[in-house]
Amino acid sequence: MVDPADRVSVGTTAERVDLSERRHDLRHDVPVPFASDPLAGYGADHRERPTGPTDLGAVVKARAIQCALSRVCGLCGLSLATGPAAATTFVGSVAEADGNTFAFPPMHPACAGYALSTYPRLGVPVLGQPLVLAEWAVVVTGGFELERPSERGAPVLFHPNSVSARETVTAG
Amino acid sequence: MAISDVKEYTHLSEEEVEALGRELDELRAEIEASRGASDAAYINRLITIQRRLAAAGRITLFASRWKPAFFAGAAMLGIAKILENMEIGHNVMHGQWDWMNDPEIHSSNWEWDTAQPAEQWKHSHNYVHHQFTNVLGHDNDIGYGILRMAREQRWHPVNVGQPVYNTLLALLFQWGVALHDLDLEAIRKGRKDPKEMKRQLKQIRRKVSRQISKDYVVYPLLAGPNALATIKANALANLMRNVWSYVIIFCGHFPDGAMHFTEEELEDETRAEWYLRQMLGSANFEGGPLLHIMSGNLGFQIEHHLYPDLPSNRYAEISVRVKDICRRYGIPYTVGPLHKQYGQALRTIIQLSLPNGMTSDDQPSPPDRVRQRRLTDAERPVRRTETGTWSTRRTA
Repeated sequence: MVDPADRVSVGTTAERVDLSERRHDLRHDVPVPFASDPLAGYGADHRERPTGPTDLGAVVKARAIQCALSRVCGLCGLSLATGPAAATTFVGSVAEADGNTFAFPPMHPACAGYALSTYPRLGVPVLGQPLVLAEWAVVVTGGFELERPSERGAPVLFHPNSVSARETVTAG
Repeated sequence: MAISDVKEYTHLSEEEVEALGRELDELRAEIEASRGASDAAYINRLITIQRRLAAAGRITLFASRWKPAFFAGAAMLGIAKILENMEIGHNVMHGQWDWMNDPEIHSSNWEWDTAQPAEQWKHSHNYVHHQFTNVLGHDNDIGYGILRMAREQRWHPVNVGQPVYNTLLALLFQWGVALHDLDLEAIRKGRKDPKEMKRQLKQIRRKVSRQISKDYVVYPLLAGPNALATIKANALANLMRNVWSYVIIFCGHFPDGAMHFTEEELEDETRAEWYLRQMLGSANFEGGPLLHIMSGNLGFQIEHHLYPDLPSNRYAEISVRVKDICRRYGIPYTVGPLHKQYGQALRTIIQLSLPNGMTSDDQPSPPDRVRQRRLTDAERPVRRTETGTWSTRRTA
């Protein structure tokens, strides 16, 4: 079987994915994405950092806004500095890509590849999706707009504003 | 003091607040749609001017034993540093120019000419300050952990020295900013993750070494016999930048009329309410185009806080519309000349060096309960999680 990470050609680089600071989801044996972890973020009190199950499909509002404003990756939580190429990567459903509106924050290209090779195969909703997806869209952009919730309970959304590439990959 | 208790907008119904939000959304959409080649030309031209000015300053300083060359070189370098930090670096790191898809002029890649690493600035300023603007206990820019800037903050005898600390902060501003994201209080209390602290300190050490080498070793050595004069001129240029940045930044949120809020405001805040908090917590100053460029267009602080990621060269035109919206909805639009705005901030610093009982209160009523220490990211409000969906586009 071809690993989805290898199939994602859009914007991927040889960068290393550093998830050493991320909590571990013991139920699925995977790292908890920064954007799905209400307790993530540097400055967090290290003495109170818990472990245990998390909702891998959730996007925490505060973390999503932090990703947008601090320009940090939704998976690893580190700076989105991308070296010579500005290649911020969004991952989501095909409908999200068609609507140019994503729920999961931007990622490093390498983190996007890692995320697609790790989470969809769990068979549960992941990466800001309410359902299990068979197909995933990968969109590379130079920049994006943040959409704050217009009403209570609504999600934070992201709109790529200078798309340079798009690709669809099959999960699993 | 909840957002609904602030007298300046209690006259607005929930529907009016949402209507105001929609008008600000529309204004944003218009600017986004019209963003293009002339904006790109503006930032490219400005970067070219700044780099030429810096080069001219450095070259002039080769003759710095001659007094006019010393002062001319230092002034050119100081202005170049101001432009780089204020109109270029600060705004690029907000993502104002990311839409150009330029790998250099990009929030992810820009590293500015000051001691604080860009990554830490993007956390302490872009996220903490811009998301929690003027919220006591959340926004670490309220007094920078050194000054008591709101009556709601508990007075301590150490505050008596505020006028002195303020002067030192102005003179050493870049070094204060360099340490801003470390959260010294958390370190002192053992709440800071040692690994994270080590990582941040390493970043700061690397950046500080680079800055010191550039200004106080490499360029002075290149100046040969004028090395000492070059060191002095570089120090003068950095001092110019420090004092100017400090003045501009203190005029953004501390003049009379800019309000403070408490954490109740943050709970389930809608985009329209977020807009309102940004407008009420910020203050503008007036001036010509040159003053605005030299201040990174932060004279339009209200517009910058409403749209931190829209190109700064558009704030002047945005301000006309925002002012009109404020007038129609009866919301205060705080603006005044630079000297007046700074004078008010300075008066607050001096006044709040004394206990509340010894000074008069000319600001809105204080809230009941205020945090007295910084919050970590994890402690900042998280009301809910949400799974992904997509909807009609509306940006903010």
